[in-house]
Amino acid sequence: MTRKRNTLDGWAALLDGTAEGDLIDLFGREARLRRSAEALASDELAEGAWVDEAEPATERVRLAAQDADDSVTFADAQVRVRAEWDGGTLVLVQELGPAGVTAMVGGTPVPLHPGRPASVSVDAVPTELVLLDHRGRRRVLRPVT
Amino acid sequence: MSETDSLPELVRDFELREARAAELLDQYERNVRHMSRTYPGAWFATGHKDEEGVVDLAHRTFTVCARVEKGRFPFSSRRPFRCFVEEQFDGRAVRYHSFYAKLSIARELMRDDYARNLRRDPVLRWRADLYGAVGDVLKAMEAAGALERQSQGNSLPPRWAVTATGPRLTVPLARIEDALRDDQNHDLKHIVEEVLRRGGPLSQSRLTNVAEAVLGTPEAEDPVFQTAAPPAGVQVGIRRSIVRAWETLDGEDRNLMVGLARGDSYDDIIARQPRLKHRVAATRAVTRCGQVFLAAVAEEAGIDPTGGIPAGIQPRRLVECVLEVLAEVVPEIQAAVGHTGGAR
Repeated sequence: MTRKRNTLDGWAALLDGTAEGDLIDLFGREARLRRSAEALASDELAEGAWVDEAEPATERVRLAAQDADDSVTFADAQVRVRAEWDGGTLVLVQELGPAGVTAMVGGTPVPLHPGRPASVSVDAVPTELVLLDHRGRRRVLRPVT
Repeated sequence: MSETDSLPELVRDFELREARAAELLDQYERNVRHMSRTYPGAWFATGHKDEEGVVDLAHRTFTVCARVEKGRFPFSSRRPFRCFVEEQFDGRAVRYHSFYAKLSIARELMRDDYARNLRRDPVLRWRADLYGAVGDVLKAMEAAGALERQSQGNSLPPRWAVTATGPRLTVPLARIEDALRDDQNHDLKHIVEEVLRRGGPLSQSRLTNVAEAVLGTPEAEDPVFQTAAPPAGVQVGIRRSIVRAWETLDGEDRNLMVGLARGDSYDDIIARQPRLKHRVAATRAVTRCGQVFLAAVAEEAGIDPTGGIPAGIQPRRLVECVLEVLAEVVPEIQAAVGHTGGAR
């Protein structure tokens, strides 16, 4: 009993606001964070963020842009992506940077895997490339020469 | 695909005879892998879009379909597999409700994982807080008559618009972001006002995205947050101890905890609890309830009582842990914190 009381005395000091903030404020902050997190995730789900309802194709289509003659490299300090366009399909290859990056091309999310081509149909090569990292943070890559 | 679509038969065989589970699970993995390809890692339980995260999601989708009764359309309080069989859904309908619909079983699980990561990852916590702050700005501006809500219909969040003052041209969001980034005024109200005035009506989450792009997120190295769950035994033990502690509280203390879970301020708590006449009394009551939970967790975890506060234990983590468990198992707390309860 004494041993338990010692523990509770120690932890009570932590709880009663002497160690780090006031417990009511802590509960308030955490509760508010919980509500915001639930609401933000629900909003993004309801609005269809990241949703592509297309099922996978039954046959794999060979990417036809290997001989493209219109290519550009987009980069910032951490990420570099080469883009090749054949007049209809844009093929993106992530040459540098972390995994888990998604390119947004004309509103279409295109997941990138370092070193592997990913394609998307577009009418023209974009002037800049918008990427989302694995947390969904946006970064804009500009063309480099 | 429809002529050779084996999915309905696999679902039927599993639902009626518990047969061909491996084949069915394989189809679930394949489709979850495809469906989830567009999502950032923050939407996965592990915080990363890696093999483990994708397979984990596929298995949980399968488990929900097999075991969890869902109230909403089209399930009507049936387990999804039961529903698929009884309604004689074809493969496309099974895939739609399991994976590809905007509100599919798999996407709802991802929503819950994302919400959990929003609470734990420092960068994502910042985003969740920003969302809350944007909400405060919107409500204040609505109360002042500067904004109005526009309904987008069932199950969609409202959009917010500046109170109508005649037709105006809208500007692409990317241009507004660029302009605001160059602007020296990074006050959130100013950002919200400018985006809605120049960009047209937007939802709170879209406004948050724009504000995040303008303000820039705090930089944090990747491995700072741990999303991996503790061992199942530990989790079950802590859950049991917190529930046990909850059951020892009297009605007034439970009401106090519900208020805390709701994020009530001192004034709210004092107003709702007649026995707590001032802040000191409220602090004492909260401390006493906190000690009950602490004692239960310490006992369950076998923490050395003579050792004082274990290293690394922070009040915030303790509060988070208590709320996490209570929100999952106590209906009053679920209602207070708006917990989705596994996306029923």
